[in-house]
Amino acid sequence: MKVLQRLLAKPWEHAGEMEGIHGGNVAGRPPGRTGLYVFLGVVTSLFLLFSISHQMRSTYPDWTSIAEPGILWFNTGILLLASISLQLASNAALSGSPRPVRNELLAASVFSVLFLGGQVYAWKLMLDAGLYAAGNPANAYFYMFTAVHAAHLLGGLWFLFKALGTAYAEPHDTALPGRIGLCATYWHFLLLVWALLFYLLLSS
Amino acid sequence: MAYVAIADRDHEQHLHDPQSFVTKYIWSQDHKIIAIQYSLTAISVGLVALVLSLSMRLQLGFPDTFSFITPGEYYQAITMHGMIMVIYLLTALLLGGFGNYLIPLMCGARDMVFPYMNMLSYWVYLLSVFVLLSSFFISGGPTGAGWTLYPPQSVMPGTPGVGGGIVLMLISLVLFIVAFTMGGLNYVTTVLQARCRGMTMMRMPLAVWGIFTATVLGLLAFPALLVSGIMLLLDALAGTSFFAPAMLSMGEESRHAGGSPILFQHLFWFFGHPEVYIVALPAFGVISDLVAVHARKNIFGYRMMVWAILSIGVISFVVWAHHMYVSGMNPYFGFFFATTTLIIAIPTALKVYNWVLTLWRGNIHLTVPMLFVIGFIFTFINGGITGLFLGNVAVDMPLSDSYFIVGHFHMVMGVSPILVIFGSIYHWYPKMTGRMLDDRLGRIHFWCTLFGTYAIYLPMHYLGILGLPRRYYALGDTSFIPDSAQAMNAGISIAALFVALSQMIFLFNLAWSRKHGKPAGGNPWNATTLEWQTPQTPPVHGNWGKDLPVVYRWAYDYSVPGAAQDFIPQTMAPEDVPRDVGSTYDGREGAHA
Repeated sequence: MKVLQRLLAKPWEHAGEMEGIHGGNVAGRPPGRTGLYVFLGVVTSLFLLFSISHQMRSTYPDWTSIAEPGILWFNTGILLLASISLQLASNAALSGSPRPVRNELLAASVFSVLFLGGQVYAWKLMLDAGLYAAGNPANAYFYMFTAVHAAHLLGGLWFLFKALGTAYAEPHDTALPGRIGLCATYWHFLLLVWALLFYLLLSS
Repeated sequence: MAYVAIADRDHEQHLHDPQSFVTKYIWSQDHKIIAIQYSLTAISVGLVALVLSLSMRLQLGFPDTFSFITPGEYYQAITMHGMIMVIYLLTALLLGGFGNYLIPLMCGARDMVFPYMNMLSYWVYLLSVFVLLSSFFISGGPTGAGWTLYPPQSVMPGTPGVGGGIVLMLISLVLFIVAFTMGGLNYVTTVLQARCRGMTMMRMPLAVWGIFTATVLGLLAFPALLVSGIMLLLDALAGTSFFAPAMLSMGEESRHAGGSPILFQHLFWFFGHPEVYIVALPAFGVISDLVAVHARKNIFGYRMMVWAILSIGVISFVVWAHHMYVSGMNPYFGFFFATTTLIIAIPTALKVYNWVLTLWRGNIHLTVPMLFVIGFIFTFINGGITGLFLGNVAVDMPLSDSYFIVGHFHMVMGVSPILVIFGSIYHWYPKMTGRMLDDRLGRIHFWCTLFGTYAIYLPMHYLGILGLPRRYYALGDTSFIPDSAQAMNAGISIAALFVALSQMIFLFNLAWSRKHGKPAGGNPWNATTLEWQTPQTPPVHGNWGKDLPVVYRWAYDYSVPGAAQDFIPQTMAPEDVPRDVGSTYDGREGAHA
């Protein structure tokens, strides 16, 4: 409704009126968070389109269902733990406790790297089973989904490692809680994306 | 720590002052320098595309005369010309160039909110251009699959550039999308968060609305190109069959099986049609500002213009399949997409009416930017009306793949935005350099460009109705095409050469006026918007000196009754507005009053 009200404003009236319309504090949140939300919109569009293409392609007669490696369940649990650790780190950072922040960030980093290692192992299991990308579109989607998701997680890890470094070097940096909060939001989002992709892989 | 809004921060807190020539002009984080870098790169690569189009026109106008262009090279020229013009020139220039220059200045910000990422955006864009152009120098050359890159043609033997060319094209597109995303995050977040005091969304100039909405469209639509690009790349390199079906190619079975070319088309056009508006919306916004300034009149129907921009943005996502009528689809889908295509004409037409109504009884100054504005309105109406033809399935079928289409999309998506770009450069060059472009050269450039482009594209509609197919290297003895069509083709080619040469006037003007142009002063057009109120011209790093501006009014207070001047800057408080002698005007009511 607020947006609608704004769009109904008649800006040619009341020149000079400054009270209550906009005093510079435009969104009441750091630009980094707004930027992250916009970026999540872009990534949502990306994975939705991948998913739609998967749904369309999977209806073609040459599609052969595959049994995904069981390790993907384990990997999913690990990613969940990474997400939880980051949330705990964010909570600790807001309450100003440096030690738990460091521990939880370290745990999140380890879980995230473990997740990526697990995904690589899943690739190896697929290849060992002779399920190559060119063999069938179901195989191709498996490799593509896991690779694109991993690329996004790798991008996030760059920022997570930076936050981890700051947590050790300058634990009282006032920007740290904000950065950890952004990492937590991004990890929760990537967990949701992975859940969607995993569901698609399992269901086709 | 409580968040401190950008407009409330100290000047020192937000600066990333350049310390050397390299950080000032090369690895620059200043949005104005990045804008100029984007613009120069886009114009340079656009000149490459212009030369490619001339080589095509020489072949079409004078077949069997030139030996330097073979059929394969002709298709490579078509492909590279189209892709460069749409993506690497128009998108990059309108968003990377104009977006970067105008958003912080028009919103009253010191810079983009993520300056480092903004700098990276440009360098990744430049890398994408280099990767694209490098395909000219590899064995087999660039891809000749057409700018739409439809599989299976794009990945099958027999198509020029099927080896490295298509791979470099796709890698370049992926890089471009990464660059655009980094820039786009900046544009959107800066508009949402870094506006100065008093700059409400509805006080923003329409140029910012257009660029902002186009950026949102780009951020949502470019992923479709990324998805299709990644999958096509895998088809080309890894032997997957997302899009490529089983085929017999040169007597041999291809390694692909079962892929869906139609799936690629859906993904491509889900990006491709919003792309039309990614180019058009910034042009719409900019033209709205130019028409108000040079007609000395408030824009007619500001709110309607904002709503129209937003409506076009939303509807542009549900019209994509009108590019695919000839690919075949369920008739109900055809009906749906024809209907949405006609619906999108409504907000678009509203904008045209509002530009014309702004001109009506305005104090029209026939400056060079205004000439381009009027040229744009004419051209956009021409291109828009032929779009209505093509939006209807039954009319589109016979006209598809003919020169009618070529004429239509060049009018609406080529000439129209290019006229806006020229008009904008004549308008904002004084702010960017402190000097005016030469007026006489500008007028010569305008008339040559306008008449020349009409001499190129209007006859193409006629050729299309005759049935002249597009994309053909040579027509040969085609019985249903009269000889006069070839004479017209030759005329079009001569006009194309004329238009290309006349652009040299513009380039000369840009270079010559940089040193010898008339000094512009801070606000040569007597405009109201913030970029014209900077303490220095050209604006220095940080844009505003110690204090950010404060906005008291909307962007279109021109010729306000009772005010002494015919413009009231956005930064002028009501009590400071000079009034006519004896006027009771209190400085508060705007130009609509």
